Amino acid sequence: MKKTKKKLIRALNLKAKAIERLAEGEEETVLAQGGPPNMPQGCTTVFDTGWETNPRPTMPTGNCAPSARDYGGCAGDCWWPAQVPDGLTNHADFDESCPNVARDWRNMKYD
Amino acid sequence: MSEGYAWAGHRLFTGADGGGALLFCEDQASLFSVEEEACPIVERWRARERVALDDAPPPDREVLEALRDARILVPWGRRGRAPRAAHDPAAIPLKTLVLEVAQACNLRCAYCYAGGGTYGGEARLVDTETARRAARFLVDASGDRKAVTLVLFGGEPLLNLPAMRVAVEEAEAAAAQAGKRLHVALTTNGTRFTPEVLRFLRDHRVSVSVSIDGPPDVHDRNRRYAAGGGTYADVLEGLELFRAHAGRLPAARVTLTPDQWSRAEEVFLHLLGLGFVEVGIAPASPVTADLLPTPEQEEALLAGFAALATRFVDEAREGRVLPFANVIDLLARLHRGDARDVACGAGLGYVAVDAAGRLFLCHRLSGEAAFCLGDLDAGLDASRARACLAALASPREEACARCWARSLCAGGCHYENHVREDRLGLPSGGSCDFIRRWLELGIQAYASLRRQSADEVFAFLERRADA
Amino acid sequence: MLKMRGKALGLVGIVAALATAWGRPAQAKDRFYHLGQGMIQVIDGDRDAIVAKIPLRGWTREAAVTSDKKFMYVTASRHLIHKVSLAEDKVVATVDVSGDGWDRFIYGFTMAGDDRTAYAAMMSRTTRDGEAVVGAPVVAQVDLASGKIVRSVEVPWGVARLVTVKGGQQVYAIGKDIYKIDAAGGALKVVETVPMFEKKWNILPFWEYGWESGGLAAANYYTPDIMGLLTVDEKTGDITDIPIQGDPVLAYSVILAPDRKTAYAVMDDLSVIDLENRKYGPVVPLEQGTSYAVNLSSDGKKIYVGSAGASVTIFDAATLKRLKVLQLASDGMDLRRVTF
Repeated sequence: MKKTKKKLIRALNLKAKAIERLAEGEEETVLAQGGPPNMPQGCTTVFDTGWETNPRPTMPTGNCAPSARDYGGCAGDCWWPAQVPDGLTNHADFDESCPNVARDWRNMKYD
Repeated sequence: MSEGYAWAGHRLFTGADGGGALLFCEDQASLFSVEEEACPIVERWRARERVALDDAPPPDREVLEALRDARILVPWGRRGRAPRAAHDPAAIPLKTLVLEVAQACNLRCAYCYAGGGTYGGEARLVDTETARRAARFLVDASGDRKAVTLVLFGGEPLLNLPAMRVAVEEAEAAAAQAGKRLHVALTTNGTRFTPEVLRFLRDHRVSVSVSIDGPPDVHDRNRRYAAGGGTYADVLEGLELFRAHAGRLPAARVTLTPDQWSRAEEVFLHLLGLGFVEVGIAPASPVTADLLPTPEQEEALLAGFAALATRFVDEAREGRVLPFANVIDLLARLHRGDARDVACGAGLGYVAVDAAGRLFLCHRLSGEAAFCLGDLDAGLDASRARACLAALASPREEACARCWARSLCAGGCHYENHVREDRLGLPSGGSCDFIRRWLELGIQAYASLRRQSADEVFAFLERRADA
Repeated sequence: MLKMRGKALGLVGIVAALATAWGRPAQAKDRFYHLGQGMIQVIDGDRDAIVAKIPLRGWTREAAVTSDKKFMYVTASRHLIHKVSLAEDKVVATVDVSGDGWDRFIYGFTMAGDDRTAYAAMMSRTTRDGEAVVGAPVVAQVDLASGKIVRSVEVPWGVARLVTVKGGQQVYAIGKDIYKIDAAGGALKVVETVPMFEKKWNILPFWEYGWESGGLAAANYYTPDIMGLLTVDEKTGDITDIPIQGDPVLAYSVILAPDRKTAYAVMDDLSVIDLENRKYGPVVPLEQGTSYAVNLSSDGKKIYVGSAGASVTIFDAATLKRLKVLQLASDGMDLRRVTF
């Protein structure tokens, strides 16, 4: 719901306007996440093995295996930028030392 | 449960016209206006280190939410400044090369940082082979850039027309071969224009700046021939010849010594009256201790610049751009909100070549062994550039981290700092107050420009910022 | 006559027996391409065995195949496009869409219809004065020989998948909404936006298996209440919404069976969807774990589930019994089928 009354804080320069537009986008993202519980809304940003490990009492009930399973998909694209190497900027070749994470995880070198 | 919000580094400017305030975000260089009724709310909440939106009554909350959207309030967990990675000189291809065509000059300006054009060495002219190689180096080292700039500099570059000619022709050929655009610029004292020179400048579309300091008494005090005598009359004669060839005057570049700072506005108006397309005013660097300004002199210069900024805003109301380069460049940067972490491009795509073919961090630091980055044979040593830049930045890192203007100033001119600190033994930060006041003046001018419809002027500023 | 007939029958019998011994008739030979990290591995659909490994640079994402099925173009590390010869099982050329000071990232890739260019949805960034500058999201037509952008159009939001329709007349960009882009004129132009976001659809359209499904691309979406399938007919450009009743299953991707009466969805489970009645069928847990990709043999009799981790599990489509687990050399993103 957009308010029509006078804005108390207004962007003046182009950078400030860009920042305000960013905030509008965030509002929409938050709206978009108003789905049913247990729905995958993208991966977690905290150090957690993620929703895919065990949302229901079915397989896979462990947590290491599934995290490793989609390591390659979450790394690279920066879905989990804090926990896995980000392949777009800092670790473009992260996959070279570790193409198969369940087998090669010891070779992973990034910080 | 939200952890609440922390304040991002910001500066609140109050007391300008209109009753509200201006809010400048230190890291983003974003600028917001705050309506009068919101000011007490902002003031009240600024006193708290941590802000919980849920605690705020509805009218306050609206303001705080706007501050959050403006990134002035940042999530508590993300407070503190994210340091930017240092620029890597090795990763930045060359964009601008300043060629000191002649390390010699027919003038002996009182404030010259190049010591009569020689940069502390013997007077010498670059030979044509070195000029050719420098031009080629510019294009070869420019990586995937689409455009490069060759600056013809001195001393007085027009003392060495043969080398200028070779450098420009070689740069043109190399740029054409590589499919790049070439821009050539020349700074001259204006006493050496001849029909041959002017034909050359016109044929090669060289952008020209002429050093001229204003009315005869101001100009002739400092800008004198080696043999004695002021140069104003000869420069004016040269400019008439220039006008006859080019159909207009070039840009004017003014240097004022502190005792002349009270005359900045008068100097600008004089040069505007002569017909210069644009005028930029530089306060002289304190190359000797007698050129250090007093607080009163700094005050006088700021007053002159403030008067010119007001004139700029008044002209903008009529849709015209007052051609005062200092204000134009500052407003263009404020308009876009460019935040920088280096003051200039020195060593980061910008390099100077002296008459011996040695590479230096910038044209002003030419001839100083500590800032030599290699030569045309060995190329640019990125590790030396890295070391030079780190050494120049380190004395002010702490002060800059605390300064609201850091993203606009980024430490100021390397040469100016070097002269003050290494040569005169002054503590760092001596010109910070002056710089901050100049930037604040620009911010206030920008805000008053924003209060009027000056679309063409903003479009002009945007083009300027892109250039 | 009888004898001759018997002899003739005998010959047919021998041929049939040979055919059985070799697997299925030679006219429908399936090969599955596992898009991995630094490699593609090839699975022969007759023997269900890994028969080739194609090394390449980067972590693979999207793939598209030329109309003659001689080459597959595979994106890697979001900025490389490898040209893979399917006859030789090797990379024969690689182009990079980054350059001129811009990093570009491909999120969505499809052949443009002329076999020389492809459409790529791109994000881009550069730095100016030490500041990051992010380019507007675009859909660009890329010359596959050079990696250069031939033409492009800005889209309102970044998209994740492209589908070329009507023989290259239009390309659909699927993300928050679907943008229909007219490609027939001189310039690309967004001509229509099919809303999804305002209908509260949530979609991750990375996997759509258009060419395996006879030109019907499909992706699952979620509303606050249900899961549905969105299909795009590549021939006509028709967009169809198939809502599935009941509690939604969690799925990254779905594939349509050849008869289009059934679909299979995977994430942590393999779920069968009855498209005729628009409801869910049996659900089988995936013992190998989370999987992104699902594919089918061309006759629809075998289901290939795999990638994410370094394994592909093959199921019998009729019984949902596990037939085989193939261990791969690398983790991966997708499993595509080309039938020769």
